[in-house]
Amino acid sequence: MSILKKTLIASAALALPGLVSANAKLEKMMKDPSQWVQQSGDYAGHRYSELDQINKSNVGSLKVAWTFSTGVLRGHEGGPLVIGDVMYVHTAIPNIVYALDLNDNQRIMWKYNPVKGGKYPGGETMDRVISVMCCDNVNRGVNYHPNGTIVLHAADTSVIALDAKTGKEKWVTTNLHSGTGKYGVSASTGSGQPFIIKDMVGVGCSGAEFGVRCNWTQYDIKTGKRLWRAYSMGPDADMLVDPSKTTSMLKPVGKDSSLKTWPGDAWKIGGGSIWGFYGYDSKLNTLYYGTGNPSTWNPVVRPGDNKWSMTINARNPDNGMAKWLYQMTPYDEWDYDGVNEMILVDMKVKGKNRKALVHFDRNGFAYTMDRASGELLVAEKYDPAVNWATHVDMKTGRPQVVDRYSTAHQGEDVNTTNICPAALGTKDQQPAAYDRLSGLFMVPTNHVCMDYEPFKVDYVAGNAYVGATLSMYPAPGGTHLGNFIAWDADKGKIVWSNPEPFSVWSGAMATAGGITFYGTLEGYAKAVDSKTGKELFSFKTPSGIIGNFMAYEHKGKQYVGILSGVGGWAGIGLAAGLTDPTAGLGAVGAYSALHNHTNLGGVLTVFALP
Amino acid sequence: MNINKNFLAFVITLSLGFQVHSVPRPDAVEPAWDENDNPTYVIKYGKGDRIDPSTNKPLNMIQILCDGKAVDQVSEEKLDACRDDASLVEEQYGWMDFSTYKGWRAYHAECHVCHGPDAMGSTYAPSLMVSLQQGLSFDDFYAVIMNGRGEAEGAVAGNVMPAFGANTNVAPHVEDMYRYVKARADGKIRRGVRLPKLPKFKEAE
Repeated sequence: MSILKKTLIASAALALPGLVSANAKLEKMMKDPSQWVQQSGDYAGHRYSELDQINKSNVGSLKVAWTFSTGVLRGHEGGPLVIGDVMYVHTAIPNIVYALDLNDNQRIMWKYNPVKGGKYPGGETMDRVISVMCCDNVNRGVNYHPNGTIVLHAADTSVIALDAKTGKEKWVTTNLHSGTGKYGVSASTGSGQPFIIKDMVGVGCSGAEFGVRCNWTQYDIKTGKRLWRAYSMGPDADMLVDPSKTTSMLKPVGKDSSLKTWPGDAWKIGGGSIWGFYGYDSKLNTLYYGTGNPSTWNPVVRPGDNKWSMTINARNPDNGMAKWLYQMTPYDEWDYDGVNEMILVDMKVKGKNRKALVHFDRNGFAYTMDRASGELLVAEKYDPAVNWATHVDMKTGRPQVVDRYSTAHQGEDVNTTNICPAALGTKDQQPAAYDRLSGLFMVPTNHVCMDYEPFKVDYVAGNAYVGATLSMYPAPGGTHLGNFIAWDADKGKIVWSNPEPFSVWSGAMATAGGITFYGTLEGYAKAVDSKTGKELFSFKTPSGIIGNFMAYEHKGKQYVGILSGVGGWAGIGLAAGLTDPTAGLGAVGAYSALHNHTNLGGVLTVFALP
Repeated sequence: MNINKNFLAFVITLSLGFQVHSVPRPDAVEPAWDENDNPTYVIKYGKGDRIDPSTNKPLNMIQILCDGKAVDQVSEEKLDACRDDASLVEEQYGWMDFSTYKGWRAYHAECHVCHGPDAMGSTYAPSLMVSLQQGLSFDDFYAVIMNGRGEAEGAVAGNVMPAFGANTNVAPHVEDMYRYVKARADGKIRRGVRLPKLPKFKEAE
C-alpha cells in the first residue's frame, strides 16, 4: 500500500502544472479535419474525417497524388500523422520515423532511426528484439503532443520523445526490457502506439506468448519520468485496483480479485499484454484499454478466471487507479486477446442516452457498455460463424461456453475441432471506424475457424511459452476468409456485409463524404458507400494493406493516405493460404495463397481527386 | 439444418454397420532412422475405423494425390486437370508414427508463428518444406534451431532465427520436427490436418 500511495502523490504532483492547456490544445487540434494528430484521429477512436471534398459522387475518380517508400520490407500497421504542413511516417523494425514537408514535395525534413550500431536504446541488439517479437516486426505508429513532441514506442519497449521540428531526441527511457529475466520482464516488446493524455504518455506491452506479465505505464511527457504502472494481474497494489471502489458489472471487485483466480504463482507469468488502440474521455477523465490473453495457451495449467486478462480497463490517467473492469473472456482457452480498440460514442442504447463504449472483441462478440459506470448494455456476435459460446449472460457478463468447443473441457492432448473464430479472432487489432452520419460502425473482420490442441510446456524465461498447436481454415460453408461489415451497436446487428477473399486486416476510416475506406491483404485500397457497402473505388497498392486509413487537407485539397506493407499475423497463415486450397479438389478456391497476389514492401500511398 | 443432416447420416451409417471398409489402428512403431542415420518418418497405410458421419469416410486421410503427386506440390494447370477428371485423384489413408505426430504438434506450437502452417512459410520466414526439398540436411536443420541464424550467417536482411538450444519445449523435439517436415517435403502428408497417429512407442525397460 505504501508504494501505491507514493505513486499517487508523485503522479499528482507531476501531472498538475500545465495539465489543462495541453489537453485542450490537443483536443482542439483533433477537431480540425485538415490535420490527423493521433493514430485514431481523436480520443474517441472514431477514425472519422469531417472532410467531404471526396464523396460518394466523385470518389470513383480518385487518383494517386504521391507515394513514399519507407525503405523497410516487413509488416506496416498503424498510419501516418499530419501536424500542420508536416507528415510523420513510421516503419516496422527498426522503427524509423520520417518527417515529410508537405509544402515541398514531401521532402524528408528529418529521419530518425532508434537503432544505432545494431542496438536499440535499451541496449538490446535488434536481432534479439526481432527474435522475441511474436508475429512480425510491426509497430502501430507514433503520436503527437502539442509541446512539439513526436513519441515513438520502439520494439525494444523504449519510449522515445523526439523534437517534432528537428527529430532530435528529447528523452529516451526503456519501459521494460526485452532481455532475459527471471519473471515478468523477460521478452517484453513494444508494438502498440504511445498514447498521449494531458502532459503524459502511456504505453502497454507485448509478449504474452513469452510469459510476460504485462502492464500499462504512464510517463511525464516533459521529462520521461515514470508516473505509475498498473499490471494486468497480480496483487491489488500492483494492478492499482481499489477493492472497494473499483467495480466490475457494477459491483466492487473485492480484495485480491486477481490472485484468487490463478493457481499459485501462475499470475507472475500471466500475460495480459496491451497493444491495441486505446480511448480517452476528457470529461470523465478516463483512459480505456484492453488486456490480452493469459499465458500459456494451454488452459489446463491455469484453472480459474485468470483476472484481469481479457479485460476492458477504465482508469484514471492521473494516478492509474482502475474505475471499472470488465472481463470478456474469463479463463481464455482460445487466445482471444481483449486488446482491440475502444470506440467512445454518445448514443441511444435501448431508447436511453448513453455515454457508450463500443468494442469489437477477438472472441467474436461486439460489446456496447456504459463507459461511465461499466454497465454491460449489449453483447452480440458480429460474425454468425462464432460458436464457442452461445451468448453472453447479461446478468453476470459471462459468455456461455459450449463444451464441445472448450479446449479445457476437451482437455490436454485432445484436438478440439471447428472452433469459430480462430485465434486470430473475428477481428484482430485492425481498428473499426464510427460513421457519424449513419451512426453505424464500419468493421474489418476475419472469417476463420480453427482446431486447437493444448499440451504441457515448460516456462523458460525469454523463450516462447505457447503450449497449444492449432490449424486454421475458412469458416464453414464459405471459401472467403474475411468480411467488411456495418454494425448497429444499439441493436447488436450486422446491417450489411461485404465478403473479402482474405481477412480484412486494415483499419477503416469513415468520412463526411458518406464513404468508408478500408484496405485488403491483396493490397486493394477500397472506398464503399457507408450506408449500403456498395464499392465505389478500388486501387491496387504495391503491397498488402494492414495499415490504417487517415485523411488530411493541404492547401484546400483533401488527401487520403494508407500504409501498405503486408505482414503481421495475417502474413503468417495467409502467405501460403490457410489450408490446402485443393482439399476435396475444387471445393475451395484455387487461389487462396496470398503470395500469388502481393509481395513485401512498406509504401505510403496518398490519394486525391484529379 | 446441417447438424440434422449429419446426424441422420450418422444414424444411417451406424445402422448399416459402416459402409466403409476399415482396419483397426496398427501397433506402435519405433522412431525411425534412415540409412544415413538421419531421423525419418514411418507411415502405415489403411483406412481407419473412425468414420466422419458427414462424409461417411474414415477420418485418417493423410494425403490427396493429383496424378500421383501431392496436391499442394503440383502446378495450377495440373490441379485444373484433376478438378476435371476425378480418375486422376487418389485419396490416401493411414497413420504416422507417434514421433512424427509429436513433431507436427511441436512445429505448430513453436515454429508456425513464423514459418507458417504446414511448414509452408510466411511473409517473413522461409518455407521449411521447401528448404528440405532444396537439400537442407538434418545436421544443418539441427544447428540452426539450436544456435539461431542472423544476417551474419546468411539470413535475409531483417530476418532473424532465434536460438532454441535452451528452450526445453523445442530442443528435445528437433528430431521429431525434422521427421514431420521431411514427410511434408516428401509429399506424404497433406495440409491443415491433425496427423492420424500410431500409438506411443514405449521403450522396453
